[in-house]
Amino acid sequence: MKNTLSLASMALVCAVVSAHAASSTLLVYDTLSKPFSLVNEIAPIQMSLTHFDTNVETLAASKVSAADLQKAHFIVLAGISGFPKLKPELLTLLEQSQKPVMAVGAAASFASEKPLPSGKASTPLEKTKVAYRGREWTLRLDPFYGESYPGARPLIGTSSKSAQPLAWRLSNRFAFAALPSDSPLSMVFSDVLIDFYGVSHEGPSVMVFVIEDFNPSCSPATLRRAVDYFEHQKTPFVVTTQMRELPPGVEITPREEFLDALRYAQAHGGRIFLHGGNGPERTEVFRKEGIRIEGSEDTSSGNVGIELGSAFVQRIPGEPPVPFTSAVPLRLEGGGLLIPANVHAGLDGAANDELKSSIRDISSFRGGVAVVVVPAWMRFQDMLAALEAARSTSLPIIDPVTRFSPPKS
Amino acid sequence: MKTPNLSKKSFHPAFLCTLFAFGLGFSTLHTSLAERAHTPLFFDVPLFSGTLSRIEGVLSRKEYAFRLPEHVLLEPGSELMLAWHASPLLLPDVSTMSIQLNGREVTSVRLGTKKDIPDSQDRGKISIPISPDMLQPGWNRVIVSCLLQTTQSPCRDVDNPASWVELSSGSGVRVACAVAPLFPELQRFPESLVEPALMNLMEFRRTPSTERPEPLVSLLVPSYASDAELRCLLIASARMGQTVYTEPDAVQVKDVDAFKDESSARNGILIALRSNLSKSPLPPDVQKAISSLGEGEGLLAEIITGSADSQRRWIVVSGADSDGLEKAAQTLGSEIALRNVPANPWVITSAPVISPIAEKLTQPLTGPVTFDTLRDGAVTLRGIFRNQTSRYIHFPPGYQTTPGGFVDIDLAHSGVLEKTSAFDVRLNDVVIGSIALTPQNVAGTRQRLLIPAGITGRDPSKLSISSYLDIGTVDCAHRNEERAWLDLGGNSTVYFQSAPILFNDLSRLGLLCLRDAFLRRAAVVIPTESSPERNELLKTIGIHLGRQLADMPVLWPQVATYGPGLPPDPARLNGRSGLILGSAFQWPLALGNNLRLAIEGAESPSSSIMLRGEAVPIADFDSSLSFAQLLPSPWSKGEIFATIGGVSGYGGKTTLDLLTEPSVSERLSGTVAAADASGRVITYDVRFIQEVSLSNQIRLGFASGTTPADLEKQRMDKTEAGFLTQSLNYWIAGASFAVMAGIYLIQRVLIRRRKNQANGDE
Repeated sequence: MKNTLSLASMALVCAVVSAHAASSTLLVYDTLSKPFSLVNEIAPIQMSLTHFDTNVETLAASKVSAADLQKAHFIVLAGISGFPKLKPELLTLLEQSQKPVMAVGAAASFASEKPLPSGKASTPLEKTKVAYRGREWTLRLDPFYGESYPGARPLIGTSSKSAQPLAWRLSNRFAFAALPSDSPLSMVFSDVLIDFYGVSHEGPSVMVFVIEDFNPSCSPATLRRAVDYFEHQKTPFVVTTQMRELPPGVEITPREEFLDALRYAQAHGGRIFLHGGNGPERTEVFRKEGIRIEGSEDTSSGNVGIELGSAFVQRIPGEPPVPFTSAVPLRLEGGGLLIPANVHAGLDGAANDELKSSIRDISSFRGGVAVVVVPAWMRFQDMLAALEAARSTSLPIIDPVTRFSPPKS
Repeated sequence: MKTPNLSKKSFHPAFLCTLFAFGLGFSTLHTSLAERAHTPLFFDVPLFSGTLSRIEGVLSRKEYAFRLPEHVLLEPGSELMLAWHASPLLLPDVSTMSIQLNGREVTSVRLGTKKDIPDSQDRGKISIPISPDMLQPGWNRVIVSCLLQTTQSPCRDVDNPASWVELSSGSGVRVACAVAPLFPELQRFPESLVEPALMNLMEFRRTPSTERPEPLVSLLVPSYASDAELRCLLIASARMGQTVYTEPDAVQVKDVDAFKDESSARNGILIALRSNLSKSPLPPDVQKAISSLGEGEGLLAEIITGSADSQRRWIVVSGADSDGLEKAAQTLGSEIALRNVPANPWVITSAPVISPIAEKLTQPLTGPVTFDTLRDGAVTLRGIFRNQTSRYIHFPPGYQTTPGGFVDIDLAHSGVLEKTSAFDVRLNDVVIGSIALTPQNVAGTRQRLLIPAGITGRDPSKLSISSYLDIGTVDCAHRNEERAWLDLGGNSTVYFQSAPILFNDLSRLGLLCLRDAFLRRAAVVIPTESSPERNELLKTIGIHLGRQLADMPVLWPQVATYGPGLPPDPARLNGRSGLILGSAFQWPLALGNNLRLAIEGAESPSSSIMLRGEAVPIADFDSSLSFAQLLPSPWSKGEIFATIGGVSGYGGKTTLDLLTEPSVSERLSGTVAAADASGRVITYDVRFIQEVSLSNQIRLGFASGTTPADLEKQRMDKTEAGFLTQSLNYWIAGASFAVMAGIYLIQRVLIRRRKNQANGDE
């Protein structure tokens, strides 16, 4: 037994640590939910991991074996209600390993010189300022397991009295002292994972403009104006469309006029995505009319191409999944790529101020993609105000079809 | 000299003060810059044209619509202003006026004078702040609803003429806006070019015209413009006229050399062949596209000129040759073609094609049409006394009704109406007929009204129904809308019989160019000699034509020029009717020596106007006089032209009045007419022998002291005399026939008697 463990630890030490294609990540957790809660706190962590090209295996601490630790290239330790109860020999293996380990929540104390198997108690912080990459948020961190360990390099600071960091690094060990369940913490966690995985090729933050759900109840003239605007600005854009779900009691544009407007958009640089699914029969309907469908939006089932929309996580069993806000694209089960619809245009000036603030938040993260979604039913002037507000952030605007080639399965 | 003692102690406060002052100054500067950047523009939009709008009736309601431009961003600070004057007899505690803007209640106002202040006039002015989300670009609607009671029993006030309130010309919307950055939008032409006019409606409607502001749009053509360039000018003007709100004064015509100045001052269209554009400073991509044009290719491009604060929109229409430029002009004249602009600049290699679906817009209805297929469907009118509604019906210009058409009405009404109750039906304001509402036609009856022949089509054509519903003297509990109603069922049918419009005289002078709803049979023949007056007239005629065809997606009128030794190109005039502009001296140049006009100028032996061969010196004519005469087209069989112009010029305002002013044009008849600036009109028909010669007719008609009313009276007298003469002639003919018949009978009787006598003797 002792020899086996020694061999295993050597294998762990010698394993190549890099975030190359087909790497594997082991996510170890103590419990899915906090005590007295049904909310699944692991799901957001799993969702954050989908940004990276890695196969994720999720195991409860009690089920982890040495072989699991050996074959994984990256290890994420998630302490939801306490430090994950690994067998002592596995904990020793982990301590001796040079593989990158991300310790989240109650497991954060692993990222120290002498990790305690029982972890540290939570000390929640109310209205604490969290500063990261030039942005600052005032957040409630509960639970919070921050600690200043000697030798650890802080990655994210807080304004707590004892200046405990939210995230730090000690050699190959990373710590994130809170649970990254909601935005912006989930975005911050996702950005820290870039260093964890050693990804060096994340580009600058970019923006995508989307005219959402252009259907026969929307004004073709408004879409054409928007197209003229985009063309004048030499800006790529996406139009998502469908012909099936229409609001009741509205005047419907004649079919040919509706399709003409889509052809006009495509002829002037627009990418047409199918709203609500990319079923071949629905795509075929448009293809026969000379309209090329190049992606989809809000597909209910898994996708193999480019998908626009929100990711959803099942937080509470039996209840509908909730949106997961991401600043970066996420990989889909079917092998496609989800470009998150994370900035929504509103009708008034205050909404546009919020739009700019959201874009600035997203732009602070490496590889951030601010997808500005403008509903097709809006008046053109409101669309223009939202688009101009977005442009004022000076983020480069990209064509998602040429920029994001779907990942290899 | 002692240097100032800048000790540390004294330095810090001074430094801090300086810093503070600097910061304050900077902050003030920043604020003022910010304020300047955010200072909104304001413009006023009137609620109605005219000086007064009257609302009558106890429970009354009036709708007003106004249009806002789409190139501005609506900002906080807008206001709805109402200036009103109400009847002094309104009860103060119950009479109210409520205002709704785009479906939202805005305010309510109490009306009526207080008892302790008798004889005071009930006037008021209110200004209601409006948030930007209450207004919208495009059409907006204001509804004014009133309860106007003069007694404590409102049901008895229904027909009380004292229940009224008037809105005066101070009523409108003051709009706060900011200029949005412009971008090329060829598909939105003409609105994209002329919508600044929506911000100056009140100014352009002012009279006299000398008080009107600077034009908002420039049309630039070369000094010696070719037929193709002038055609483009006419097409562009017509398309701009389709907006209806564009006044002719808002558009000016200038030379292409003015492009540099004009492009920074206002929106516009630059029209020129490639060879005439060399001096115009155009963007490199447009210049390159123009220089690359091949034979027969045209170009349309839209550019944005000026700085961020004062951007202007310009459309460039050009071609390698006339053929190419005309293709571009026709594209500009087609809203359908502009919907699919493939690129900007756009090289046009072929003229747009009109699809069969679009072609149907130029054809009248065939076959019966039921009310429920019309927009808004069946008709129901409710309310005591007068009510009115209308339905749009497809009956385009270029056609007139012929005998055989009818409207079959499925009629029902409340059955408690007094015998004075009735309704009438009109087509394009011409009464088709009226039906009395009696107990016999309460329900389930179908009645037919014949559509008279000769009603001309319009864009849009309207079938109007007006009712007068009286429920008589009943107690208040029964005096309500539910008891006064009229229903014309959805199965009511309209059946048109129509034919292409006929022109027998000058009474339809204004419709000469409207023989086709897309103006494909319209032509304007004008002198080659360039002048501002010529171009202005062409532009104004174009705008006027466009106004009459506001909903048509294609407008393709034609232009041909003529001059000494240069007759108009017959290919341009083939299959077209229209106008020959110019002075009486110039018309013969267009028509050649073979055709003699009833009115034409003659240079020898001295300058005079020949009136049916009689020479009258030009000094004898009023300078404001303008002539019009109808003649068959010498270029195309079956088509008709009218020469129109003045003694020595184009005839100015009088020529325009003849074409556009209903009070002048409705008095036209015959084949020759003359009008002056005072509104006096005389007409003459060369097809019939007249008692008075043309020259005497003109001399008498335009004598000093003769007023338009005198001429109208003369015309009426003449008409009555004509009827009398006709009637007398019938009597004489009848009497002659009777006498002849009598003589014949007497003769037959005498002959028979002689025969009988002869037989008796034998």
